[in-house]
Amino acid sequence: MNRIGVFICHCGLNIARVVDVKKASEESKKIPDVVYATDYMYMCADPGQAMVEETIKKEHLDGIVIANCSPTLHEVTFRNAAERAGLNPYRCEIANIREQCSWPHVHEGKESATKKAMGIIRMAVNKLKNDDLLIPATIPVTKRALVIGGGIAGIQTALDIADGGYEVILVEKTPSIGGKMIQFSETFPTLDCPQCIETPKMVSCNQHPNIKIYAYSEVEEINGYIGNFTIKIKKKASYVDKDRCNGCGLCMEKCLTTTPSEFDLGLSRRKAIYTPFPQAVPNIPVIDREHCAHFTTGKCRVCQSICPRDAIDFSQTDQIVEEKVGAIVVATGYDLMPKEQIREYVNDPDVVNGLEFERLLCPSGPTSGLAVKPSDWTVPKSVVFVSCAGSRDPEHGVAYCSKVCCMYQAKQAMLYKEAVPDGQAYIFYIDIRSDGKGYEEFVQRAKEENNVIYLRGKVSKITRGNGKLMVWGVDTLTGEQIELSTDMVVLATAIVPPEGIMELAKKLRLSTDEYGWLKEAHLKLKPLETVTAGIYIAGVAQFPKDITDTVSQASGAASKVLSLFSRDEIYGNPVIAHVDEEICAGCGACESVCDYGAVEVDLLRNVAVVNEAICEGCGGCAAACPSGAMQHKNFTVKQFFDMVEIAAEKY
Amino acid sequence: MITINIDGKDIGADEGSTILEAATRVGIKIPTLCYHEAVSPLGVCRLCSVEVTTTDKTRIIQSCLCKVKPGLIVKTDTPEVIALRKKILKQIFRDALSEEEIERYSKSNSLKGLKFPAGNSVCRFCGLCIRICKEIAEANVLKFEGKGEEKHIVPVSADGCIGCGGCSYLCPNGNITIDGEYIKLQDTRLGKLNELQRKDE
Repeated sequence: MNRIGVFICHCGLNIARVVDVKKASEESKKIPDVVYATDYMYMCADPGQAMVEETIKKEHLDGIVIANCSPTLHEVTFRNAAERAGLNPYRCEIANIREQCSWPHVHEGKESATKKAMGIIRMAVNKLKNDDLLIPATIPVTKRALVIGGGIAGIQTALDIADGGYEVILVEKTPSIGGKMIQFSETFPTLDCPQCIETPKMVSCNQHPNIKIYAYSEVEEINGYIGNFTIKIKKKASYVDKDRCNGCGLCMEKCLTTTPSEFDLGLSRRKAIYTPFPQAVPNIPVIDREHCAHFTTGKCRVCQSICPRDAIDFSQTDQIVEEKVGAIVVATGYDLMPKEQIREYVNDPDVVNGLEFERLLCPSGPTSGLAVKPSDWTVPKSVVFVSCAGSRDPEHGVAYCSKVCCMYQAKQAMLYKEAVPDGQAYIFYIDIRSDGKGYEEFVQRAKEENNVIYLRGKVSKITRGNGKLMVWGVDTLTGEQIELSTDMVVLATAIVPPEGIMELAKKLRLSTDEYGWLKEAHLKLKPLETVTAGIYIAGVAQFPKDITDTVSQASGAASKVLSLFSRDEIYGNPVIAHVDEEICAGCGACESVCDYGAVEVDLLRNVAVVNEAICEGCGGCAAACPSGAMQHKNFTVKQFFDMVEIAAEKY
Repeated sequence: MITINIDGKDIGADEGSTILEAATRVGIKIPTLCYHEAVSPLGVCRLCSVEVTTTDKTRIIQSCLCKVKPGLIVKTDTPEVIALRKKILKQIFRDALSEEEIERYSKSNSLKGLKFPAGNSVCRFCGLCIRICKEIAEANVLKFEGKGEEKHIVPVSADGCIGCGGCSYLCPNGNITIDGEYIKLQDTRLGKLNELQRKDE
């Protein structure tokens, strides 16, 4: 390579104030093989890019160095400009003379800063000389998506992708889709019931020709890469042949065995053959092997004998199904922190968590919407709501705000007051966080129209005495100690990542934050993407959020998938690892450091093999390789030494 | 929802439910033998008897049969109730339980741990098998026959049995077994074995 162009950007005054750009431009012309050098006010602006393109053509350049800001900002911009001018885009190098020179050296004088800038430019030129002409590999895209989790996030994502014309596989762990939302009584701030607004979506999911629901199933294994994932789904044995069952419900009616219902959080009992709730989708019951009398005693087979469709099959076993998909959306939702974890609050049947109180308020719940105390099934005369039970409390391991508690407590207090007008509702809060459309008005309505009493302060202790619950707290507005005697307490326990999320994250090669929430690629600019290409997140799996945000994010994730599916093939990143098979001894050091599972030792030939579609180009394997057989394309050891040589010369 | 009082505690109960159902839901235990939630109550064992006071009178009555009424006052452990339970236990278990065990179970609010002794599987006429056969299987294959010392359970016909096994599962002392295509009703009192061929599926 012997026709290199250097383009130095002023970045307004960001660079030009500290670096003598004119001098740098003159100096650059003296570097061997550099045939052209210039400077410009804003290289990234359209005229700047046009100048780069024209110069490449006019001067027949075979490589360019852009001396400007960090490559994370404009490397792609100039690679595209180079490509438009007919140059291989990977023959464009960025010399970062802003973040690495003009900004840190603003007080050290123009002369030394210019000297350093020249060093950086010369290093880039030296690296450029050995840059290969890289051509990105094309990867075909399987236009089917996998959605993990059948809550409102998963349902919305699946519907949007399916409406876009692509097949979706929706995997749900429990016997029905619907998630936590279908357990709620009403939803704030509009007070519409989820049984009315979510069931139509659940039914659409079930009837959509493009959606295949795997209920009572779990993702067992995931292999592959963007556009080409192979997944193994474990269909748990339900002992009901879903092709024969027509959901008549006779088996559930006749079953002789009951056990506490998970859906009602133990507030009611369900049969051993059951659907979690009457509107379940799919409306096919499953047999709970742990409690079913057929499996515990071997004697009973009432359901099998009375089923008019002969759908009960006790010989069923767990099945593994394989599916191929091009993109994955994780919408695994959340759990609540167990009440028992907050030890200063007494473990009592009348101290319930927010979700249990939702069930008690729900018109289709165990009490038909009548708020009662679980201990004796009578209507409480007063209810104390405790916000931030575990949330915003590093002592209990949850430093974050659970986001929805302030609002649902206002709603629950409101519904309680409407059902029991002579009852009294108290809400202990730290701050009221009502940052959504119509939210603040809703809280005000609870205060003014429903006379809910808000007390600002934390509850330090809840005990049981004289047949009543005693709540000890402090009102931080008046500074008074508060001792409330009440019938019932509702704790807004912290929203925490669901059980098993770590194992799933491991299978998907995703990272989690310190709490266990799935980590997005960039909190602000890539909140739907993950670090693994082709895998997206939606809903609370990422972090606590309300239904509005969850649905928005779900549609966002679906649009990411649709944009991926709008292409028949995608281009991979060519700046990745490469093995010189002549040198490689097959020691496997590279395989053990690869976080993406992209490197494997071919045991037959005893050499490492890089899967170009999976490799993310982190460089870990190249650094680990003891023989130098593993090289990172365009970041080879030779290129590094060429750069170090310049650095060692002290420019 | 109506309010009743059990052992001094006010509890809420659904209209139309029985005292036993209301008590069980809030964790108050009352011993039972012939009761099962899947079938309608029969009230034959009388172990679930409790003292019930309405506005005008107090009496001892089976809690599985007595429907709740507003203001009902129920006591589950008065001396009279315990004495009755003791009498019933003695009758049901004859020589199978020791005096101490009878004493213990009559005062306990649950029969948990109580076992029918092996080799003494005399039918106690709880009627669970008959009720499940009638109400759940809708087969009506089993019925009581005879009176007093002659009373026993017999199959009505061999055709109706749907082979659901519910009778075998619910029978508290394992008198009914399923063996291949036969359901065996063992009635040691009469020393005979009634075999019922299951319906051919």
